Amino acid sequence: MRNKLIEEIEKDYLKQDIPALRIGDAVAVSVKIKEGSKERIQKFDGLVIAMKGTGTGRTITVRKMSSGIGVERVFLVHSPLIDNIKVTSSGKAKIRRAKLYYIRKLQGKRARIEYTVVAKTPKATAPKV
Amino acid sequence: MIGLFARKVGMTQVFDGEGNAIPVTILELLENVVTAKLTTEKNGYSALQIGAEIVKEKKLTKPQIASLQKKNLALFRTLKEFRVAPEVVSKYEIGAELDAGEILGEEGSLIDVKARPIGKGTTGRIKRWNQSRRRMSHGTKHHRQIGSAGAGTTPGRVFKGLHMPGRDSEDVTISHLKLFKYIPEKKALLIKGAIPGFDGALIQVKPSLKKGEWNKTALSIGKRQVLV
Repeated sequence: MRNKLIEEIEKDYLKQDIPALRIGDAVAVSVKIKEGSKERIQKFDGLVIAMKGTGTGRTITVRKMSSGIGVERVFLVHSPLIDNIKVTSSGKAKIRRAKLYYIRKLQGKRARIEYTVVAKTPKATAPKV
Repeated sequence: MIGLFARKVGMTQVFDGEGNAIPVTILELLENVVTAKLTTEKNGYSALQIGAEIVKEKKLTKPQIASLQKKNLALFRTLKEFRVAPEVVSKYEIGAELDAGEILGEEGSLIDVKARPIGKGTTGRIKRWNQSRRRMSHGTKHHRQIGSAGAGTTPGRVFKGLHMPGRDSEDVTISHLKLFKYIPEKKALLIKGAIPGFDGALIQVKPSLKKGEWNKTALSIGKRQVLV
């Protein structure tokens, strides 16, 4: 239960264009990086293994394998430093946990996440005679 | 220096222009109405009395209610005098609401906050009343206890107000906090950092005494010098 006034104030700082994120989604997070006066965008592709917090404090933990080493980054979803977040996986992850920390101990094929295949809406075809 | 009364709503984090997440405490301003003007001629010093926290009639005593109703004011529970220069006193009328933006300054200005923190919990008599302890060694088995609570059959009771262990706390002032934002429509103050007290606690907000810029002139009251 949160205070209404806090929620109202936070509303001004929340982004409206955030995709519906789920645990197990593969995402590409574009982060703005300032180098001196220049600004560039760096991408971080990985798997959402945890989501925490509400409002402006909402975060996602994204894990990826970078040349054999597991790298995890925690992103403040509503931060202005995050340009955008894109979900690259299709379908819902076949998982049974709300936090995928167990994946840190797994390697290779076992560390994969399976996704339900999104059924394409079947086109109306003429009934077989 | 005029202070304002507010209620602590809670903490959250918001983003500044550079994308940094700033931890802020949200305060909801109370009414803050001028309830009395004190002048050097009449009272010996110049000050403004500020009222806040409107309560039901049964919460106040009859003299309190009468003194407020005589001036056509709402029923305020909290009344506090703030020493200010005579020019400031004459600027305000009784019943005028204070403007937080004018008193606290722009966003980014420094402020002081006074409040009752969540407390020290149950403390012993030594910490709470500055009493002394008995020796720790030489066979004694009484170190920090209260000792006697009074005489025996006469008076046959414990006197009221006897210094005993119990819950303890005292007001705390936090200096030089940054005013992150003031939202007049919502009567909300966003202050960077934590503020003492429970959510819902009464908080006193003032422009920074030591580093503030607001009307910083010394006023001599008797032998003392007071910054107003």
